[in-house]
Amino acid sequence: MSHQIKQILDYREFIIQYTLQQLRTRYRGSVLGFLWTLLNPLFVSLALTIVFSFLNRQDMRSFGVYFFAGYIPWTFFAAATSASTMSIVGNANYVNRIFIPKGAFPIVTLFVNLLDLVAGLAVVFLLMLAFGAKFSAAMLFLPVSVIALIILVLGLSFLFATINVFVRDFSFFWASFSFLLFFFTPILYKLSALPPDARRYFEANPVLPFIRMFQEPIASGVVPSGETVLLATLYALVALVLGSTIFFRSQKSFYLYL
Amino acid sequence: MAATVSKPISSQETAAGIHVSLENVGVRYLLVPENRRTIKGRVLGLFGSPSVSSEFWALRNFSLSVNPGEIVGIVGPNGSGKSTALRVIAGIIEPTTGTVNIRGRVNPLLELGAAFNHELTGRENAYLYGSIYRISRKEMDELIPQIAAFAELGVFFDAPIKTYSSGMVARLAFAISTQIQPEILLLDEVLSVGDEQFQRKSFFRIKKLISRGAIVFIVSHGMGHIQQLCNRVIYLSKGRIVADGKPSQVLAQYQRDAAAGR
Repeated sequence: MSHQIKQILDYREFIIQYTLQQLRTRYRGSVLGFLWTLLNPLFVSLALTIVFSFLNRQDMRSFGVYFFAGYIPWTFFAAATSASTMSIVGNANYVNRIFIPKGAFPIVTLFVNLLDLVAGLAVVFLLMLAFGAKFSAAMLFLPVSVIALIILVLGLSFLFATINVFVRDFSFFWASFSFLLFFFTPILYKLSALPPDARRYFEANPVLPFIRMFQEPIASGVVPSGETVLLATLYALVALVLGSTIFFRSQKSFYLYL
Repeated sequence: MAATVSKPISSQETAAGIHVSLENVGVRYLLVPENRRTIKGRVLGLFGSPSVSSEFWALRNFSLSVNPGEIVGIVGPNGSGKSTALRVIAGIIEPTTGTVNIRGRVNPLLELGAAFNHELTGRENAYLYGSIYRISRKEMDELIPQIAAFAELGVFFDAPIKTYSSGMVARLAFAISTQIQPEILLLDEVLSVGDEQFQRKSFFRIKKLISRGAIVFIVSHGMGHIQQLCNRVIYLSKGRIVADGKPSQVLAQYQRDAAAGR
């Protein structure tokens, strides 16, 4: 395992170059280019915020900030994990023809999507300014939230990339399932709005602690509880150890299925 | 038997001397029917026909020892395992059986240009390839002018690769692969592309690498190129070595067999 990690680190220059290349080709030919990374979450979030502030009859400002605080990390989670299912299959050209540690590809996919998270958080801060929301000191906790989420996504990326090599249905399954999971994660609504009996089940959602680690500092101005942080850490580490172990164990036979 | 691969591309390791040795290498492919790749296919497969996929040995008992200065041509009919052999040497495939020992910096890329990003320019692709060869951006800055000059692309060097002709793509790929001065150079069907003048230039460059003690492997259907360049030829058929020796003798045997329809 340590040998595999060392090899990936040896190829960090490739990881950087390939990430930049993917980002460069993404917006090539568009007029606004990189700005779309900022505009996309802005448009989607604004539309949803306006609609849901009518439906919920809540103050649009406070709901808007709460919604963004959960929606941005969720989008990153959903987009990065969905993209990871194709990180080996979609790079078969490289995987089968060039000697590069295969673990580099899920990492590149993560980095490409990471830009959206950073841009999305910038949008959240802009909107907080626009809404005149309070910036609390609890927001200094956010780097920890980002790191925890990255570890979770990295672990799942290794796992999903592997599964999809052997069973190509997985990418379709995950695209649908993650959409479903979005509605069962308190982002469009608050956990407190649910009946107490149902809350228990919603709290079992392993993605919830990660989302809370963004919602609580941004929307409520409090540092997440020790329980939330502990759960998130546990899930993230389990995902990373499990995902990378399965990936490194099965990468030898990838060529048979690509 | 355990399959061990000493990873090629570390410059410290190479001080000990360039060498390629493969012992009893076997590579097995499983012919997985297309319908078994999906959940539906797997579930249905539980009932219908037997679920055992047939296996196929792309290489069998493949043993080889190559020393610096050798230009090894690999010939054989389609599907005889030529490209698989190169993939094993490049470290892309770990063999199912046998051991691989590689000392020296391998150019880890087969089918030159296959992994180019066609939306990007020649220059941008060169930098990406540099990072695949683990050459820093700084070192690459120095190599780029030489690559551009050798590939003779002119202003096209800064145009997207999708605007290139296939000859231009091959020229760029060959220029990059040889400019980084690999100690073990793998060439899969590249020499047939490019005009005569460029071919002569490529031959000269390969000979220059060899004079510095490199090892070159060439897979080609162009018998002329193999005859001209190589000082050793391996004839593969159905994953096994049929003959290994002097180009004139091995090529004659290969051509006799081909004519006889074997």
